[in-house]
Amino acid sequence: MAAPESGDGNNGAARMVTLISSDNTRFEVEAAAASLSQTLQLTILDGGGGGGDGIPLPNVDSATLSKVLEYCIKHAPAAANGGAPNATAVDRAELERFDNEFVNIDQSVLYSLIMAAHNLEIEGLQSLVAKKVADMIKGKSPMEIRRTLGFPDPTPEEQAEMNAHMLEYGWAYE
Amino acid sequence: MEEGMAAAPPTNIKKRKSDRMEGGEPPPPGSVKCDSDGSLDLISRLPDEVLGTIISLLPTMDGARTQAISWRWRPLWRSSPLNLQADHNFTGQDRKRIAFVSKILSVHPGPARRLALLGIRLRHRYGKIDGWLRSRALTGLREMVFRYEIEDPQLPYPLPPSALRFAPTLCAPEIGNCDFPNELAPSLNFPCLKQLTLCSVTMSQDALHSLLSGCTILESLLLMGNNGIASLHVSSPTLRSIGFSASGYWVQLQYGIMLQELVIEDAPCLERLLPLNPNYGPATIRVIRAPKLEILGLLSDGISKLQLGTLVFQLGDLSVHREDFGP
Repeated sequence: MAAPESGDGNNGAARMVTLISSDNTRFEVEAAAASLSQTLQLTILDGGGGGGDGIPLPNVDSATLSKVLEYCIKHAPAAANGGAPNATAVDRAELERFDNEFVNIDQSVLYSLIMAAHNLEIEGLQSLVAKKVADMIKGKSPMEIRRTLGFPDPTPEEQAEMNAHMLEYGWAYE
Repeated sequence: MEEGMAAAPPTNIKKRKSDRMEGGEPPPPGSVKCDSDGSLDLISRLPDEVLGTIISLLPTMDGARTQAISWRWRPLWRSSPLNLQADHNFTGQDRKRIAFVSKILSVHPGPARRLALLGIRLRHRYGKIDGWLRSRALTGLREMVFRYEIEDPQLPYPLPPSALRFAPTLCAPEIGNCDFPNELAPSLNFPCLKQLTLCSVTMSQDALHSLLSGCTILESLLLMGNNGIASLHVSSPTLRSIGFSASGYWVQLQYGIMLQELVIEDAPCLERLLPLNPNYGPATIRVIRAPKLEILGLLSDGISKLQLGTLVFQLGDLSVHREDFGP
């Protein structure tokens, strides 16, 4: 459905939309913030999500959605500014501080966030969370990565495979 | 991520979503063991595409090592866009570095996100470097840093034309310490290129002008210590920032042709015009039309003439609107 009709053309600044999480919690949020999601943007441009309707998000639970929206609300003004070329250094530093703080979370929350960012196609959030995980992996041996990411201890077969890899890819371990 | 109790009726959004969530590769036969018990590390449940993005953000060797962490991760490095950075962090030994680059390009099937060849010693290796740049692993390259280590400034350091085969996909190339293949410039188009850096590159004035006209969405241009361009005329509907210097990072050009004149003919979006090393010129800066120009970096003795529209300043030591001096 949702053949992008010309719609209302201008998505007014204070227009609100409602998003409904998988556990049926309703979140009312400015259309501009929700539109950071490429997936939602089409529906919203098409006039969806207003009034009593709401847009159901069956893959995102309320805890995750509220976290996602926290990000969107914070980043919406800069995004509206076309990548914020005019943003002052202070604005940029503030967003950076927010981002660092934002991903300082439990791994399970982080992964739910990664999935949500991926499904909702929120570009900035996708790279923020991917970078966080990359930082967790960087500079570690496979065994250390397993521990960091909460893998169970390797079975003997897995251990053997790891050793085989270290032989085959010797250059990656110098 | 639980599908669960969702009371909400399925919509087109849901459909698209769940397709993508299941997008991960099926486990190889006989290795189902992990998935059924709830103890599987959560991260491995993410789709391949997501894990691939994470891997391609890692430094080269870190990325390759993720293959060893489990069967789930094994195929991912090879199927994620390659991030190949060969600098002194990669390994201090030149010969080893060369061997590693060859090795990695031979084991990764491509495509690539980023290639950084920094401080590569040319010597007798032109053919080898050209071969690297032609390799399939580098298909679709988006970011490229290419810089030779200059061991003898008397010798030529040609940039292999194969480095320019990425023109259709490059977003932010940084080219330094080499001789640009001038004859190719008129035929090049860079439809994705937003940021261009040329540092200590020898190239003709005409070649740079053609190169710039092939960058149709260019926003940021950084030119430092290039040789062969005495006068640069810039017209661009998209450019926002220009950083320039007649001298290079490391050495002053002792010979050759340094930038003497920079003319901004028409740059409706230009906001920042930054002389990065004003003591060394260029001697003349002329701005004919740049209605959005807000910041003009620090000026000094090296710049003797500044013309804004019809207003001409003959400068001893003058600074205008000191806000931002850095590159």
